[in-house]
Amino acid sequence: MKNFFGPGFRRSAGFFLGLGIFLLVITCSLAKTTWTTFPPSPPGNYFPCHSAKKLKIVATILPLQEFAQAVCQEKGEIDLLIPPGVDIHSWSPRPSHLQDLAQADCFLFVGKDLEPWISEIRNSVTASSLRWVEVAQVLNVQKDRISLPGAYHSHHHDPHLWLDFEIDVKIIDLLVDVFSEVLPEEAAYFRQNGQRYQDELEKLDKLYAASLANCRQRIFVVGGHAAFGYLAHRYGLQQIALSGVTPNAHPSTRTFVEIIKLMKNNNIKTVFVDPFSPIRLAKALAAETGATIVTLNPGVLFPPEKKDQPGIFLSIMRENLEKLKNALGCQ
Amino acid sequence: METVWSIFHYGFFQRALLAGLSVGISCALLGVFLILRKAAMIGHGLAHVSFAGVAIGLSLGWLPLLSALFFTVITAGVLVKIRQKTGLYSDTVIALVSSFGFALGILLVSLSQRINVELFSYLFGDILTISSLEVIVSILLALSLVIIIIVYFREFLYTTFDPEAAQVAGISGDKVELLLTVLSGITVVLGMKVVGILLVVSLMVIPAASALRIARTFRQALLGAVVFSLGEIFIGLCLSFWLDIPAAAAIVLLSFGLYILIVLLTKRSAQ
Repeated sequence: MKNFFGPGFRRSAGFFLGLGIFLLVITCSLAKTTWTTFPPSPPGNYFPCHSAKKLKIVATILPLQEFAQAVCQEKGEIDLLIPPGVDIHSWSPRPSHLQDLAQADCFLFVGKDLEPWISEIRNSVTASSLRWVEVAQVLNVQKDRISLPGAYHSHHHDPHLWLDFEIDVKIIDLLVDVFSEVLPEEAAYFRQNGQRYQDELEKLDKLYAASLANCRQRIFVVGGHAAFGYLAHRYGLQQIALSGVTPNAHPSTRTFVEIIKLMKNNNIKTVFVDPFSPIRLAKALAAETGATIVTLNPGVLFPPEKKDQPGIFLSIMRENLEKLKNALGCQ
Repeated sequence: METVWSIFHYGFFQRALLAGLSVGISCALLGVFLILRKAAMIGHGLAHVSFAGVAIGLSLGWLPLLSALFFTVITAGVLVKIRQKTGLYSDTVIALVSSFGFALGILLVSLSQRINVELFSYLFGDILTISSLEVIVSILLALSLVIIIIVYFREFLYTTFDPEAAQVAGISGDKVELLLTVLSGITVVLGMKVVGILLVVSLMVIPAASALRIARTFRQALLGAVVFSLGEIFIGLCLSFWLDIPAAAAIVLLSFGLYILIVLLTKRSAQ
């Protein structure tokens, strides 16, 4: 018996105690991630009553979040899936994001050109009540979908379709229809809110068209990836970009030299960049041509502290217009 | 002809040429010593370490060139000390240190989500964005490296060819090894912007191997390595523009092709 409690026992007891604690910690930390993704239900949900029911919506990017918020107003709770300031092209979801999705009524995303991971997670989220809303479906495939004019060597579809305000109006029609299916009793309310935001978009569209009608220059150079194809297409501008559809593509020496020549020949003195992208290439281009670097926001990047500011997408678009007018010498 | 040579008018290309050529001189000289000491892979190991140095610089907002230089030189010193203290073979130590460097780099990259794009330009080289500061640092360091090799030529030579006689003559083999490794670390960092971390070892090994194949004396080998290296980098950079291919690929494939050619030619003449 004495031997039983000897150093051998103590050693193995210590080992198993340690193993036990280790497993406990692992289990707890795994369990914790599960617990935290299930928020405590508000009391209203136990006694369903139409006035308290809110749409729970997850949107991948800012424009979709803002459109959904504009349509739902206080009848919806909209979460932004991809954090502001993160490169949307290389982001992909973690398991905890899938848990959030399983709790939602609608999931708004652009389409496979922007979020290629959608098809992968589609089978993982089994909640039957979740509606998957691909807003790129509003595009008339033959007519509207553009293959990145201005980007060199690119055969991809431009995913940045929210930069065309006419398409945005169609997206809002789509959202009104989808939300009305989920909450039929609020259909009139959603339609009225949607109409109000659509009026704003149409006003902005007219302002863009008028401001960009008479310009000294119709070419603008992007020292990053070609995000502004839809904008250029709608207002008869030409976008020349260093990289292709995603920010990771690196231009070849010849592309770089061709863009330098084009800028010199057309006396282009502005290089546009994303506010959050690395600007070494744009700097090199500006140094070579004596141009200045100006930020142009593709509408998805914004400082995290402005996350809940209403109408931020529209205000970003107004800022972009001022910068374009200056760069292109518009009257 | 105007269009073919027009590339030399561009500032970025002039900077790439200057940086490339000064790196080429350093790499070629060191390469000859490293090959003869059977330590050619040291450049590869240190290149992986410089990856971590670049990641440190990018995540802390420092100039990646300087952080990589600092980190790689320190690790080069540690690498030599580990080898001398433990008596491990140098390839084992290189495998050890290079995987450490790469793992640390990957960790830092994953922690900061936004540096991926820039890191790419260091992995594969980026001749479009070499800054004037980087060119000046490259030229200064290449110059000091040439001076160091001239000053310590006797020590390098003896420890390379006859370590025992060098010991007898009072030359510390350990110190020479430390110096050569640190110099390799510096050179690797200078080369990474031109051909990238993953290919920088080629600048050290291929021109030196070509030169050693045809040289009759040691001095000829050093000179030949420098000539090959300068020629290959110059033509490679031009080819990258003319054929619209990546500079790193152009330089490395050109020098590899030349090496194969030399091997074939020298084989025939020997028969």
